[in-house]
Amino acid sequence: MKTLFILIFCIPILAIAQDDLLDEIDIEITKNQFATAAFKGLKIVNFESTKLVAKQEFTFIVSHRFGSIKNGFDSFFGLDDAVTRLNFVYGISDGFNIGVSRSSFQKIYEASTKYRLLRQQEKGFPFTVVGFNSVVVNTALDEANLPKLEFKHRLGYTAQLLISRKVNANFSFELAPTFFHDNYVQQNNQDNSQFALGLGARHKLTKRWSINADYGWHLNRAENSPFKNPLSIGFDLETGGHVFQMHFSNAQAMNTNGFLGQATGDWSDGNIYFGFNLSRVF
Amino acid sequence: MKTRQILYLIIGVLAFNCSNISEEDLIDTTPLPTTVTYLNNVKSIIDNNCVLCHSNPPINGAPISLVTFENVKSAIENNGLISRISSNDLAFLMPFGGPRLPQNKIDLIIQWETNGLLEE
Repeated sequence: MKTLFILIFCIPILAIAQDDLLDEIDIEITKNQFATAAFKGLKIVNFESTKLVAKQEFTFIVSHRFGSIKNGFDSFFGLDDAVTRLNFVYGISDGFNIGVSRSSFQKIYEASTKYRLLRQQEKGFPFTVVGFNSVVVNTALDEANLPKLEFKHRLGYTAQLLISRKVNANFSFELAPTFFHDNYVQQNNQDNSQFALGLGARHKLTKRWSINADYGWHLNRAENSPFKNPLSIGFDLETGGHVFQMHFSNAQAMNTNGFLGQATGDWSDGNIYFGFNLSRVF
Repeated sequence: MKTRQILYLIIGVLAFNCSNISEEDLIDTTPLPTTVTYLNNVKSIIDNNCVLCHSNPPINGAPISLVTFENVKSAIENNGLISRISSNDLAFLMPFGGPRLPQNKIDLIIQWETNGLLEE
């Protein structure tokens, strides 16, 4: 009888205690439901993705864009005419990165910052929002050709908002409204201040492979401009500490101002470039 | 606080360094001479822009050298030098990878060909 009483009294208490524990677990889950890894690389192809380097992590990114594949064996599908970019990115915190780079495309130096403003949550804000700013210095402009050249004419600026959403475990997309200003433009009737909308997406194929694409829609290009909107398609291969991105693009430049403002290739006549981005975390 | 001040300083410096300049604002506006010759006009353009790779012997994979008058004349007659420098296709353009030469320099070389590729 006594044991029965104890049982009757204890069962509800135990039951309630279990409820409490379950509640706590539930709260934990809803708190941490940030969407992870909408993109695996720091870039989709040309556009910056919403991924940032973690705190105190140091990432080195080597990018190549080879020459046009149109010339075939004459230049071994462009391998003779490579353009290289070396980019170092450091995470001051998980949400704030700084980077410097040098590209052999017009000998451009670049300094950039990337910072996360909002994060996608399952039961919360539906997008991840990241800001990206950079300053570029074009050191290939030559005073012998442009006698009135001053240092400030070499500068260019980028301000970009990256808005991504991980739709499901396999598919993510990104919008990238971009403003960029080149102090010097080659085309006389081109506005120096230029606007573009970037569109990018990633679809996972297997655990390690995904297909990526991005497109830059330039909104105020001069009428007779020889430059084209950049369209790029590629594959990501994830191998431990590396993300290896291989792609075809009609832009040979790799800085934002370059691929949006000075892409010359054309998909319709096969004038495209093979390239890759290889990143390594230290 | 100190980092914020430095940030403002950087932004301030950059903001004063905006300009709206295109090619025609930075080139000499002297009209084309009536007769263009290699020694007076063309050699300096070639020396500044081409000889870095098109030296003798040529480097960085360049196939020909452009050091002498005969070199340059032959490049225009046989290697399509004018079509290479006036192309808008970065995969074809010389100097390789750009930037493209300013149009007035390209016009000078076209004028030189029209005049009959004179040395002096």
